[in-house]
Amino acid sequence: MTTHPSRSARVLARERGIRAVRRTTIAVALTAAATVSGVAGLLAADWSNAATVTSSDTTASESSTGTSDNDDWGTSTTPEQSSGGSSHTSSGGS
Amino acid sequence: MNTEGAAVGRRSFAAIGTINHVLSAQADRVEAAAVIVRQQLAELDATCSRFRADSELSALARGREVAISPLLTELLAAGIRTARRTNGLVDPTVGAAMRRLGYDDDLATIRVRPARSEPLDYQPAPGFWRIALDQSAHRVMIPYGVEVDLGASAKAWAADRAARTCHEQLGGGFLVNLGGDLAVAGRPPQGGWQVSVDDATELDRDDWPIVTVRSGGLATSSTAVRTWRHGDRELHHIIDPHTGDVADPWWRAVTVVAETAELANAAATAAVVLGPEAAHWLARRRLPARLVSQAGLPVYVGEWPEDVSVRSRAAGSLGDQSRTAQLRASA
Repeated sequence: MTTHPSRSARVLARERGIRAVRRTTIAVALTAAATVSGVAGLLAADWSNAATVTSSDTTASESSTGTSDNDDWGTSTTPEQSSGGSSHTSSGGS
Repeated sequence: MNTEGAAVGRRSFAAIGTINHVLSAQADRVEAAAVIVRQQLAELDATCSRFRADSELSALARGREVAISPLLTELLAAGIRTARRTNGLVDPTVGAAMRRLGYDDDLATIRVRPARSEPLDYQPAPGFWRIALDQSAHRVMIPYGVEVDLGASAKAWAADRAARTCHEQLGGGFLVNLGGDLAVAGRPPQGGWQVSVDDATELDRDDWPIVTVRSGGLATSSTAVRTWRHGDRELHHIIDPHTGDVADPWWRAVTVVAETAELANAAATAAVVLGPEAAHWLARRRLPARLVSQAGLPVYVGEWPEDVSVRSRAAGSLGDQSRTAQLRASA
């Protein structure tokens, strides 16, 4: 018997595929930017290099949708309930 | 029992447009620590203030790669790191948007000048990826038209650096609080550092929740503190990079604890920009947080403890109950 993935599974797979492509594209863009930066060090005012940096805008913009997970948030640190007394200092809105 | 002890030393001073506090678990080291922090903040101001025409950042040539100081390299790297971590929710290229909205000087100056009323010009931030930084060579290329504002990351990064330097040079435990961005280094006083959270409500100081922090960083971002008027609108200093306008003030304040102040501040500011999705976003990153709605009521994320304040402890009730009663009384 032939089985077909459910619609939700197909949608999920498609989303994962898109997400993987985005991550790859972003990595390429960042690598390209780093390379350009290095080249620009040798050719300080070479505008073709500056233009190359700008050409990655569309890809980078896609990375700023706030939808992808990001694990680069350090180890978990937990505040504890105060045991009493007054505070040493305060954190106000900055 | 409060184990705050008499040994904790404290110095406070104004710098970088805010009030800063240096605390030492060993009182006899606080003076030396304050000297270190003052010196570092003076360097910070001279390096990246956007309100000073003579700061290194303001004077940077645009459109070509130029050599920069190691300190500006670190500060730009922190700004770009923050933008990448938050997927562009917090972006250092909001400088022009800030200026267009009128935040072009210290707030004390802005608030005393006549309120402006001309139509506002909203433009999305150019995007952090336009800053080409070579961290190892200390060189950067910022294109024409890109105005960099490191306000969303520099203060927290500086708090981490200052606390770490005090610990490394003087030994012992230190807490550095730069306008609400707190970093801790070394061994805390017995019972930990007691930090009250001013969440910009009308409540009395005795109703502010107090948490114990022993390591890492804590930061609060608010839509109700650094504010000014433009015509009929009250504006605040947290910009949504995607619109170029101030973020919708869904939350009055967001406080986050993380491994460093840089991380805590990045998350708190991103949460303000995200609005209603913020609690879920923070939970997915396992960041304990406390968000306060415009009505003044808290939402807890992760392992953030239930509110305990001086008043609630005296009344033998949970902070929420005391807080709700106070809010009703002041409404």
